[in-house]
Amino acid sequence: MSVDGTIHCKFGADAFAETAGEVAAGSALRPVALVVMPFLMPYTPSIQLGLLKEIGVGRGHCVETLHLHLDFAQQIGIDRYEALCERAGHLGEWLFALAAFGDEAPDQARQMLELLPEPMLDALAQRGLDADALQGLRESAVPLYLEHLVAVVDWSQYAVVGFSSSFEQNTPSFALARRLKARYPQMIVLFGGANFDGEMGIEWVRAMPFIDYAVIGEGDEAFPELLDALRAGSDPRRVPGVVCRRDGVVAPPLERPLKARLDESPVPDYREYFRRIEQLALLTPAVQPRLRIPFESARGCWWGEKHHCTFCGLNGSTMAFRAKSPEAVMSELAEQARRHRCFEFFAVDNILEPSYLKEFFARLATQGCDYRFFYEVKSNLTRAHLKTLYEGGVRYIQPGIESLSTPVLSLMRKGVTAIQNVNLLRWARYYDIQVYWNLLHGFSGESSADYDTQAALLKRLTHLQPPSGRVNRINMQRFSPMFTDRAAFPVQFINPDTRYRHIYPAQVDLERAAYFFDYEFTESLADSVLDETRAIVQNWDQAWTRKPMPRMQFRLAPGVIEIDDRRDAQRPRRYSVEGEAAALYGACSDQPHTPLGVQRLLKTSWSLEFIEARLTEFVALGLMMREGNRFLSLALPATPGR
Amino acid sequence: MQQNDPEKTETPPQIKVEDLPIEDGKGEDVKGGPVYITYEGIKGEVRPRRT
Repeated sequence: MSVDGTIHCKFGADAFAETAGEVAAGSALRPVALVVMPFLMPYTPSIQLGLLKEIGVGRGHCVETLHLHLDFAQQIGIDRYEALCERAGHLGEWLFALAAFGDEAPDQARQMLELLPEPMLDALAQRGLDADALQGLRESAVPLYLEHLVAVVDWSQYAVVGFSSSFEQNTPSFALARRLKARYPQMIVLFGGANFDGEMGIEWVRAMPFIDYAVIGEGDEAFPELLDALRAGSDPRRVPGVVCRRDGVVAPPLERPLKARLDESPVPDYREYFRRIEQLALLTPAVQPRLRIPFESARGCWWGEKHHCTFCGLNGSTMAFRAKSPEAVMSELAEQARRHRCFEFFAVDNILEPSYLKEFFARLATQGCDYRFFYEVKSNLTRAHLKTLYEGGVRYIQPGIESLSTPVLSLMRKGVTAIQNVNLLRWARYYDIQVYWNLLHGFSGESSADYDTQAALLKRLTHLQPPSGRVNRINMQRFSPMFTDRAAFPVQFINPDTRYRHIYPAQVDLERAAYFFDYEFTESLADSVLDETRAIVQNWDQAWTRKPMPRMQFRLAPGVIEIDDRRDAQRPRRYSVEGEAAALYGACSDQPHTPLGVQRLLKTSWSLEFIEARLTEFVALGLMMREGNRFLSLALPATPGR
Repeated sequence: MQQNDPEKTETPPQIKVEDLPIEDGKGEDVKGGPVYITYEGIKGEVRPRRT
């Protein structure tokens, strides 16, 4: 489809029989539009749309994608649009609430803005989005955008319009769906996506009269089967995973097993996105290098299957881990690179399939492919793992570090320790892999001593990448153990996030529709406990903007080691040790070791007490960290790339 | 067993500390600035608690 709304569809436009009102058998033979609305980042197509389109086409349906989030980016400016995408806090949903619900929308007096944190508002104001500008978007720009969409696309030819909705895409999607349904009552409006998982989807269908059907859970099979049912005139409610409203009631869907064989998934079709971003004149030299092609190599979380992290609600009904074969992914990447001349990819996986280290990245390195990847990984990766990832093209990772306190990591069931997390940050820095990570707090059972210990450690890590997500109190998310296991996580109160009431009309049962919740555990620390941590991270962040960047490197030779410590630019120091004991520091560099481990590694007969005493001296100078009986050197080798 | 066992043949090694000159940083690239991939796995946010 072109931006001016012209549909080029091979499927017969004469093959349908239009019937106003009730959905008629055969109507699904007309084209199907899959729509993505703000606030998807502008630099990427929707994998949901691209994949479902190909699945639908493979079943004989005419399916088109419409990446309409790009039109809003063009209208308000891509920088301002990106700023809104980057900020959580339901602001995007609030911007579209008036358009979605009209007079029923709450917060006509923009009280919502008073609930947003000042740093967020300040950051938006710096991008030209102060309170008045946000209000202007809400009252003027958003209605104009929606009018534009209704006018520019020839919606009359679609029998079905489907919306994929995750995070802050609900009200933008509702706003357009409502307008389309009002203008084309015979149109079937379909929703799906993470916002419609579990009882949330059931409630949205109940409360939003313009939604005809929703797919609850994975859509790979439910979506084409729903189209089949509509085409055949059979009851869509018999399609497992599909819900609809009858007499104001939405019955739970029939259960559907998760898709087992991901290799059967087709290559997502992103061509409409790439045409659209170009035709909207958004593909500037500044934007071009930021484009990322999403791909999926695995679903679910193999760690979560065994030990569900207490705060994580990302895999509502899809925890079971499934991975594509490396061959299938390689084939898909090659196809996308050929189609779009884009070598930048990001994996939408929640966690890396461990066998990919050897079977995927090592092979990519051997093949000489020049892809660059973003991946979510578990933070227990070793130096060798990170080297393999780097050589295979990984340049950005989100390892779920979350904390540098082992007691707090234990409370969240992360299955890693602080010393492992620090080691990952070390080798990511060494191999020049950018790390996205947070310092989270607010876990039931944590103590102020945990954060005192963490703060002391943080001060020694300024040569490593600071937490890009800063210091955050943990969100309470639906589907997480913190939410579902009230006995293990007793609360003083838990309510749907207050801000939802400034977005959604009163008829929405937020207890069922909300994903985020306000809460207070029965036992919780005062926010002030984190003040020192915040100050350290702020200084750390600032240190990483200066020239030269903080660093600490060692040079080792038999009988001598020098450690150049430039973590504090105003107090650079060199530490040196001569003699056989110099090897002790190098021995604890690749990974943490106990004195016994060092003894064995160096094949020395030095007593454990002697080794421990020497390692402790390094710790006292801030050159090593100690956790229990394990020691880890903090400096990195001066010679890069080994 | 190593020939030069410091525990038996040497006094414990001393870690020598010396100051290094302060760098001016000219000509060095700045890395680690603002990140530009936004991922959807939002786990927390900075905002005041409401009780």
